[in-house]
Amino acid sequence: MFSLTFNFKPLFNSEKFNITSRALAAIFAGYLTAATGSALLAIVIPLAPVQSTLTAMMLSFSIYTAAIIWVFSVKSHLVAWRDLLSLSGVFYLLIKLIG
Amino acid sequence: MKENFFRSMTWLHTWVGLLVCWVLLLIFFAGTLSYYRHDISLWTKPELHKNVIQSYDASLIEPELDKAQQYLSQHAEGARDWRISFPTDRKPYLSYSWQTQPEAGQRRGKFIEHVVQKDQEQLITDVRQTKGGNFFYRLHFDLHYMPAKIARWIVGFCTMFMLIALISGIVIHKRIFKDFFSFRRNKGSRSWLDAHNVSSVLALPYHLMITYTGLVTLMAMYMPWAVITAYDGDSKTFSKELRPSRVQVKPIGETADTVQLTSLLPQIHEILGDTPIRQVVINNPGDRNSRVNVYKDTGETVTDRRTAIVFNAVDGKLMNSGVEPDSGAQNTHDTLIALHTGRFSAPALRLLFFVSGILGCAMIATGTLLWANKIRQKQQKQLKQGNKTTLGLRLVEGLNLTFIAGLPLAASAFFYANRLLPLDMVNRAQWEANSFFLVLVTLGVIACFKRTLSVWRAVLALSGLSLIAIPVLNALTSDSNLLSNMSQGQWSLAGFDIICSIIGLSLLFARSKLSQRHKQPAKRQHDAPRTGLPLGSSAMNKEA
Repeated sequence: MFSLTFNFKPLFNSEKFNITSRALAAIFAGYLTAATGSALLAIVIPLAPVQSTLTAMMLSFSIYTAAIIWVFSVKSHLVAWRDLLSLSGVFYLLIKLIG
Repeated sequence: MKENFFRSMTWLHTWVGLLVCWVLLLIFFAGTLSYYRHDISLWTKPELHKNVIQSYDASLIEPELDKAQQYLSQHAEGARDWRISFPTDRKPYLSYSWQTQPEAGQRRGKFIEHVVQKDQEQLITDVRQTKGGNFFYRLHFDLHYMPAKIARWIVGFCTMFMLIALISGIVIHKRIFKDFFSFRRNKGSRSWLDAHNVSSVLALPYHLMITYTGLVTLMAMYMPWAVITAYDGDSKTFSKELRPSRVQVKPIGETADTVQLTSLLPQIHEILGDTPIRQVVINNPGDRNSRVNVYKDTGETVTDRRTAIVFNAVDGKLMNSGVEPDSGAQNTHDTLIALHTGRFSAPALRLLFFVSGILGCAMIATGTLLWANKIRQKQQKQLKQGNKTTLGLRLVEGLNLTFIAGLPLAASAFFYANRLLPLDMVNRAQWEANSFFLVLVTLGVIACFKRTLSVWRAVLALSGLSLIAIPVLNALTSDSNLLSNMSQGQWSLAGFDIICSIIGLSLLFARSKLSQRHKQPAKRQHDAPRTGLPLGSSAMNKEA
């Protein structure tokens, strides 16, 4: 019964949790965004496959950087998760649609 | 996150910078030395300092190639590949080398290199076992004592942190130009901040370039998703389309005679014109499925594309004339790689890269010193009440001492080990590397107990003196010395001695700066330490 009475709220709103959550979002959700973003670019850039793939790979780190900055600039860490996960979800759907 | 964007970015800058800065410092330090990888390698092999250094001579290529083929077929039968390297600006000697067949469980065989003397007759086969400049080159992205793959992920992770630190650093710098022109000396953490700003801003384009291109060099490993999507996971097809001439061929096990290499020369000359040949590599010599790859000396071409002219090594048929698909994306990619490695750069530009690399080290070092200084000021009150500093601060200060003061000393230990370890020592090359890390570990242990200014000064003095003495070491343990190298125009050897001495002198200068500030009047002791010392001296001494 302990788990039911345990109050998660203070932990959830604490600074430590906030930062941990953001760091995880930056590293993993950010990577996911960069990975799906570059995969999408590779098939939508209107160049020969070798060139579009190469371009997409080179750009992937810019996407990653932008995503990480985004994570640490929005008001709430939940917003950061929400934005990056939905963005990579959209990217993924587009890849499935086009590819 | 914080009250506003500016604050959030400041927070981010501090933490992404701090968390990985010592690994980054190691990477930056080793990478900076790697600009002189071949010069370091030459210096670490004194056997090659006399009678081998020569420049490229197109008229000698034919007899040299002929001799090389004879030599290799006698001495390197059954090797995985043969390599004939002609003199270039970076590697100014003619050598025959080969890779033996890898033993079970190993990816690569042993690499053996025999160097031809200037008279073209004698060969130097007995070169000391050393890692040379390759130690720093590998350390730069493979670290040490761990599988390369794990190391590269760690390095990539840290590089990403660096990129974020740079971008957030630019964002928080509203007054970038004003700050740049206002260096305040002897003002405690303010001076460290100014030093941090100057070293960052002065070489900012370099820092951004080197960090981003660093990620690009290993992007196939970090970000394979574009290939996986566009090529349905078939990365082999991708690399084949990307670099048709670099496709590796496997031996099929049937023996066949290798074509006379000199007979290929007319075709090579037709393709290359007057461009010097850098290297001829024969894969799977003696096998029916064997290739001759001819690499030209790309010299100062910016796009770093090492495209080979490929022949079938049995019938001599031209298979690829060294022309690869030329596209915007590929040129961009090759240029990014070239910017990172700086292979194209002439001596002056290379020196500029080297200095920028040192500024990068300074940026990282001042950043973390600044943090330690600020936190120590914050903890002044507690210290006065006799409390100990926090674990975080002690950790940062200890790591600072180990890495900032320790890296030059460790590098110098590597060079001394190279010259002083017995030549017949088992695992000699590995022990050179071990001495590098032993210095760091020793300092780390010392830093656990004592991180005072006197330790800093002692370490700086030791590394300064040992680096200044490098020309002496070279003169005592090789046939040549600084003066003879200078008079013979062997600038890569002379340059090594000179650069070591200059760095040694600047370390001594830094040490003397620390002593001066240390002697500042005691009446200000009640203020927060205003000294620009790494450790906030007055507080440190009290605690010690």
